Amino acid sequence: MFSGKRSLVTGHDFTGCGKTHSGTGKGSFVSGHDFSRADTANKMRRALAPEGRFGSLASHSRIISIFCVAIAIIFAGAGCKKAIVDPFPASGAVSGWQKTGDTRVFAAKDLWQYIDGDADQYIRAGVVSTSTSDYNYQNHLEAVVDVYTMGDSAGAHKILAGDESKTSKSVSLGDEGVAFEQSVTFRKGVSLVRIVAYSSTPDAPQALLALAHCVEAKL
Amino acid sequence: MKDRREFLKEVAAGAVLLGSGSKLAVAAIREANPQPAKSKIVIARDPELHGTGANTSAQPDEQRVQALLDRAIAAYTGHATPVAAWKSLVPMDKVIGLKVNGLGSKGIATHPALIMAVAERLQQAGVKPGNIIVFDQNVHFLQSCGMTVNTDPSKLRAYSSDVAGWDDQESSWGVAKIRLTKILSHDCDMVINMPILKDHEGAGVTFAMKNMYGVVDKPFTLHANHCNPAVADLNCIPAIRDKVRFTIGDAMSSVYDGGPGFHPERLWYPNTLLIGEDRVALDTIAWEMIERQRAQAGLPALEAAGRPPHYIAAAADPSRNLGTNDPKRIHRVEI
Repeated sequence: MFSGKRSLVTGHDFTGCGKTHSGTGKGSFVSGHDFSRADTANKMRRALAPEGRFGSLASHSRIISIFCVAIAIIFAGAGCKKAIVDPFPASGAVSGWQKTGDTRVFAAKDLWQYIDGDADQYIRAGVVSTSTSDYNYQNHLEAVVDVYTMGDSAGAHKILAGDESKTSKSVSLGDEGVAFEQSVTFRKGVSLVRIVAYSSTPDAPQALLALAHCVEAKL
Repeated sequence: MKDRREFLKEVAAGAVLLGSGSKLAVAAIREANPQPAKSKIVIARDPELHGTGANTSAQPDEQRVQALLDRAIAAYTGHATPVAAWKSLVPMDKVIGLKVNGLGSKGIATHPALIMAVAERLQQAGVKPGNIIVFDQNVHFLQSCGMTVNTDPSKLRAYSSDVAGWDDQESSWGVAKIRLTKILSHDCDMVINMPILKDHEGAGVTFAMKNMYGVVDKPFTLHANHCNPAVADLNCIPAIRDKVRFTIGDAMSSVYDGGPGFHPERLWYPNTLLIGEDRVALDTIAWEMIERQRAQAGLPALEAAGRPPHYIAAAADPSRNLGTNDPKRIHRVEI
């Protein structure tokens, strides 16, 4: 049933599974940056620029100003928070899968509200935040996608290693991954993704892998 | 005027303030909370609850659940008819809470079929629909149990602590210092505990007593030292000890490792209901069930895994006197 090869999921429609770039995602996932101050500074410099015989100098000054503002924007961009990608495929992004709930996000200190007693092991492994959303496959298979953002990849590996067992099968997803008939867990960098189906159906393993590949592509 | 039992409880509470280990405290607690010579626990099974072979289903058959519940309650009370049995258990004119457990998501939550079976029998016995409140910690946990929020008092109610709010005052006993959900402290006169049996990464086992973590505002403050003695102390808080008087434990499906979250690869179907009043005895049996399944799966015992549920012994300790973990004092009725 499992081969772990990507060829298993060929034929699925991965439209919408590409990376989400800064400024293109939903507001809740992309932290934008306020450039209005840079624009204002530019206008002020223009207003203060000398006129008349110093016209060429003014023009030169304008170029320098624009250059400085551009540099400032680049540095400001580098200094602001890194844009957070939305790893959750939209409905229809993977053939047959519908996103059936809002994405819920929990900071490490609030993770108990989602998984209570389970939270401790994630906190020990350095979880930073957790996002979760419900999905439905062709109206007969319910599943949940959990994305744990860890402080480092070692923390993600630690949790993943706990999922491995004699009955798990290795899958080619991210940096490492394992699958069972009703679940797929993989790590990509500091992200740990667990996708779990609530029931067992013949098409569950392949459907879960397809969804997992889409999540991986968006990370 | 206070009756003797209320007076003794006040004495016990005062003695606890002086020191829970003192002889005065132990004597007062024992007298205020008398335990029977033997605690009766009914262990009711239906091997075909989830179907058999290729027809095994994640959700149990609703009619079989109702029948199993009826058999269990009849065996516990000695009354042949469900209505008579329920009337002997529950005051008909009071508000009855059903504390379910949906923390493990839809995969491992108190089954909707069992919740509805209990609610139906309560109504048939004479409890008004609006006097039944199905509750849990938050709306998502309730949804995992198949419930949607309803606060209309003319119908069966279902709402969560994040809807009802928490007590303004802190309640405390031993290491447990928490605020209770108003659903328990204010809205309900009696609570039927409806946990689901699970392995627990911290506590070892979660069942009857651990389910009370779902009635407090900050359960994460009670996780130290494998939840020992926090689970026991929490159950000593008077509102919990007195109002949560009966348990209908869902062991129809369970996870024997990796809990309390849902790990389908570690799911098994005990197809069992555990019912009784003694929460310590119930947890003692629950622990045995988890250990048996872990051994069958080739996993180490919880002691060897570093998380034995020592809180069970702490709860049975005379200083708390919540029930018994002594197998000789547990009257098992297996049907």
